[in-house]
Amino acid sequence: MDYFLHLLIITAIYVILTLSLNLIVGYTGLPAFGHAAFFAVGAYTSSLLALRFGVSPWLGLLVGACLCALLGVVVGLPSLRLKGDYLALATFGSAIIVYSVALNWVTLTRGPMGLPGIPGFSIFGFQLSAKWAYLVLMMLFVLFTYSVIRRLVGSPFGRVLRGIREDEIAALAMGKDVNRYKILAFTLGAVFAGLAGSLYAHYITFIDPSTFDVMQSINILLMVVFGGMGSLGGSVVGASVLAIFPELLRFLGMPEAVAAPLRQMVYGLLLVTLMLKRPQGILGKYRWE
Amino acid sequence: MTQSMTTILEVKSVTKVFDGVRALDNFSCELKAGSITALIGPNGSGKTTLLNIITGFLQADSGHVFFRPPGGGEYKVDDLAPFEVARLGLSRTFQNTRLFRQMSVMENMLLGARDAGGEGLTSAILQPARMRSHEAIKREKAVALLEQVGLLAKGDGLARDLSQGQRKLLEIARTLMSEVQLLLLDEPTAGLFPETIEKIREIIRGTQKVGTTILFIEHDMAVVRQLSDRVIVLDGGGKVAEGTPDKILNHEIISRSGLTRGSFLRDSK
Repeated sequence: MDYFLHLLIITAIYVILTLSLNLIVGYTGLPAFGHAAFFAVGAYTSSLLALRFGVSPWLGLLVGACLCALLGVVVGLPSLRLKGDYLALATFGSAIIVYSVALNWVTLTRGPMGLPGIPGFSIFGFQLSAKWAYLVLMMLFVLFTYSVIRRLVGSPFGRVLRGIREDEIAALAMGKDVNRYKILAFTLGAVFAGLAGSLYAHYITFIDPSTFDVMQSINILLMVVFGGMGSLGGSVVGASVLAIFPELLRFLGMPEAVAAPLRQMVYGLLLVTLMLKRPQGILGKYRWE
Repeated sequence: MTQSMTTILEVKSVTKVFDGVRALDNFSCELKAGSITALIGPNGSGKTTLLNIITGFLQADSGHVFFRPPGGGEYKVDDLAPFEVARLGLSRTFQNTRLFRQMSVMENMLLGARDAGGEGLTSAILQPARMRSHEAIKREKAVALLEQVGLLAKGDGLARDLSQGQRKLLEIARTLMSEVQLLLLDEPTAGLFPETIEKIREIIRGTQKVGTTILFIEHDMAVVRQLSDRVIVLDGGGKVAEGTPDKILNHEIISRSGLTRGSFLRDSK
């Protein structure tokens, strides 16, 4: 049961990450391959603040989100100059930089040894420890993220984002300050990914760079594409399926030595099949043209 | 309607070189407020380059473009970004139609409005009543324009599902969502059925009636003759001739150049 709750909690964190990346990739059409960078900065910021200075995780969460907003501006800057594949590579680069800092700045992050003993959240002096309590907390944040992003994309602001995705030149010709919107998309996406990072760190109590490697960025992107770019419901479904489904294979009763590689293969197979059958994702309407 | 003789746009000695080719060579022209000017010339003569420089999508190597809206003031357009130029009231279409393909026809129209306030992030989060009423006004205008071009029934359909002619109509209707002072059309009738061309001609005339100045690139001399007050002929990046359509289209040099020959035959039938 505890394992099941844990799985749901991790899924909820992936949902937040996927929703936030969808804003950048699916709605604004900017190929961003480095979302784990924001996830990492959120996690490390509030963990370090809590461990080194005894700052409350709640405050750390806010500080982490603010730092991520700044980082979002920096990571978004190449999007003003680069398009398509080139932008994808640039964002990939930013994720590698953040990962390398986490790995190599040992005096700050303890590098590969990671940060153990990160304190959990507490509410009115009560330390949250039960899994179900964390699940409730995560669900609240999922709900918050979902409703904010939904509000954004459903507004005239979101319409401009989609316009930029469809045709940047036309958006400029309609008087839209395209650069500003691109940076805003990155900033907003980064803030929510940062929140996910803090939530993760204070739940799991131990972080090390391996959680935030390049593969993680790819994972989140796959969830967006799998569920459907430009569909929030799709992000929820995509993140849930890809986070839970491979885990279910654990229960087939195979020895772990077989199950682990099998999980990877099933995961891959799932993606290939879907992309062939439904390139726009499970719930998506939009596809890259 | 009386035609005011003030200049709304002045292009002054503009030169633009691409890889050693002079796309525009010391080109100058003036557009009178409320006029319809046709820009003609062979392929590669610099017509689209000129449109791109006027709308800020290209930077001139030398020379300037001044925009003097009827409301007063003077703007050096060549210092501005394309979106800033658009906000001044210059609205354009593209030679290859540029629609927001995977968005609805209505959304395409709504994006055509220059409404920076309602489209901001704070409006999105707070969603004030002001934003909602802005939206309602925009929607009303969009409905009227879509009805005029015969696309109202397609309002909820995706732009990519429209036919070539409908796309052109939508692109033009979308420019009219803004308070357009100077409308720039890049080959509005290219590749269209005569009935659609007629419709576009009506729209252009109607737009002029409300005081908008129009500059359009055109290869169909019949359309040039019917619509324009003034014709500018470009060749090799320079102005070859300028004048009334009658004078220009019958001009010896122009007809000898073969530029208008095909359409002349059609015209005289």
